[in-house]
Amino acid sequence: MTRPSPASVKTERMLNLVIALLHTRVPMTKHQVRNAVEQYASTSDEAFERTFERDKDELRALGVPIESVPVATAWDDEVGYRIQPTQYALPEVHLTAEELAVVGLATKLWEHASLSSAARLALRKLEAQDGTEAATLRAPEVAIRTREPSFDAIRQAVLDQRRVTFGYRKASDAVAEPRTVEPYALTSWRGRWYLSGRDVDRDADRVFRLSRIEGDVTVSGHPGTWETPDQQAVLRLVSQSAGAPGDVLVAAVRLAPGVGQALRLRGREVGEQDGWSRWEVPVTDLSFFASEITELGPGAVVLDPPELREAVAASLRGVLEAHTQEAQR
Amino acid sequence: MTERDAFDEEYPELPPQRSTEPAAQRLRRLLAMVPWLTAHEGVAVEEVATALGVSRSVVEEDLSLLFLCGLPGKGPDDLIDVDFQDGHVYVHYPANITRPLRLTTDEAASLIVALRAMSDAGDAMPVEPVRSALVKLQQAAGGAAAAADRLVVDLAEPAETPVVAAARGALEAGRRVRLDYVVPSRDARSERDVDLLRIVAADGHWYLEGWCLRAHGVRLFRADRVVSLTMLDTRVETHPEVTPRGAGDDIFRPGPDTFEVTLRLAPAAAWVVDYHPVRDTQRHADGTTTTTLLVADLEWAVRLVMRLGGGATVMAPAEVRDEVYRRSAAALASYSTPGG
Repeated sequence: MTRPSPASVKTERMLNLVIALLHTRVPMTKHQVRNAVEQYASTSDEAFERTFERDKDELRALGVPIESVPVATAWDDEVGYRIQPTQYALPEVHLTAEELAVVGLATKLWEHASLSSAARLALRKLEAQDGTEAATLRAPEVAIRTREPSFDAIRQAVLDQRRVTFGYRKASDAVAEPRTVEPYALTSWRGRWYLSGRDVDRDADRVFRLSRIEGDVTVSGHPGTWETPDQQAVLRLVSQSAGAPGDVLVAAVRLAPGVGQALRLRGREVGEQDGWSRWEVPVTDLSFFASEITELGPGAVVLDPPELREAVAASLRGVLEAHTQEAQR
Repeated sequence: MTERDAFDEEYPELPPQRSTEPAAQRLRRLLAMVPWLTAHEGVAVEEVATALGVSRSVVEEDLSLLFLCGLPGKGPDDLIDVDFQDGHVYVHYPANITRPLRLTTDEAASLIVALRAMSDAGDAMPVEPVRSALVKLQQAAGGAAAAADRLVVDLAEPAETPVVAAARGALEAGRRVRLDYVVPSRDARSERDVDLLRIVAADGHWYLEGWCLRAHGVRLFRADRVVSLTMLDTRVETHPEVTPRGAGDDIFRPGPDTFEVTLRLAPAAAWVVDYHPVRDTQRHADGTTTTTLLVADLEWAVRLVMRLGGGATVMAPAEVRDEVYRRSAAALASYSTPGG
């Protein structure tokens, strides 16, 4: 017989625990659980306690409703555990063929790994009721997409309503500052993702663009019950914040012949000097624009505004220093 | 030989530590899988794999695990009975986990939000099934449905541009187009002849999806990077292997002409490893990462390192390192005097 991996043993253990707690009609004490799940048998008392607690937490985080109720045993009042089948199971839902088809189409909208797999699993759960299958209509004409590294962590904090802390770089800044937020909603608007919520330190509502969240995202605290604005109010918050006039700077840039095709497409030519052309290009995100210019190398020079010049110079210095040390090794 | 022995014979030793998937995530799949298999008796393994979005070997590992689980009695009715003969799956379990676990918040949200987004976007879909599916889903999701309200997707299409209008015209007329297109990663203009397949809105942008004759494959072109679009007299052809692709511009597939560039990445640039083909990635105690990037040309790697603004240091080859040094020094010279 093969030696299973530790992860496999854990999966078996957790599955056996779910089966045992679902099966019992009377809540089981810890002792009874230990006897019912063979993977607990070989552990020490202390290890069992720890492992059982962690298993319960992880199962509850998965949405498995483990009940703990007081039970009177021959020796003591103790805690008993069980899962009530009515609370565990998906309620009976019967979707027609057309309904299943549109739900199937909906699952294809997510071009993001964890949400498209969540959608797929959900559809399988719905199909399991009748044994019917969702026939695909066709490929959808819209897609919901995200590439922000912070997306999954922020999304879970929003869905679970838990406080979240992250580093945030404003459009006009080059450096990120820590922010702590009680989230209201995660919104996709005009193709960009925004987190709205109450900024705890400022005690005021704020909107954050996910693409400017940097570094680790930490979720803390128990699921909260603060009130969240309705969807219309959230969209108003986001559109007002995102469309704010202060957002758009205009950069003056000198480009050598043939350099900066994407900038030329976005900007307009305003002059010529020594064979190079001068362009005015709108900037929505200082740091992003600076890295775009840096990538172009010596054939692109920022003339204005000063904070953009400084950001590009700093970026170039960063590259140079990283390679000077190497060159000297 | 008992049934169990026969099963073991057919599935020889699996190597240990094979799966790096967290146990909880795997359990989530198993709890959805058992009810689905019970409702789809005799389904082929390949179909199971497609349905769950995993490989066939993962399905086989999952089935082997299920076979070991059940009630403590270990009597014939206590264990999950998995029958896997000739590639068709039969699962019997007379008890409780044959009902699917209720929808989690992200499962409920992913379906409800997508349905709402589709109906708002006016995607040409039957309106009534969407409405009634939403009602049933919200009932079925129970408490988890409230979480769906916190994930808001506004799929309003971006403004139509002349390029998109011209593309629609070509699509309707069934004619090939010539695109003059900016490729940002190479800072170059490129001309392509394309047979358009569809026009998609995503990320707030319009994308033209079509068969690129030069690349011999389906490609996505962001409409706002198209300098000009010309409809040609040629009619479009049907092309083999046309499968709609997801996001992304030209996708690089490592081959025999691949170059290798070894980088040391600061923590802030560690994401590079997840977005480009690499090999031999090592994460170090100080938070830095060493990796070898596989690239189609060295110029691309030089540009990436420049863009990272010091977040990446080239370890090899020397010609790339020297070029980065030369280029950044030359560019910096324009910033030593005010006003360039």
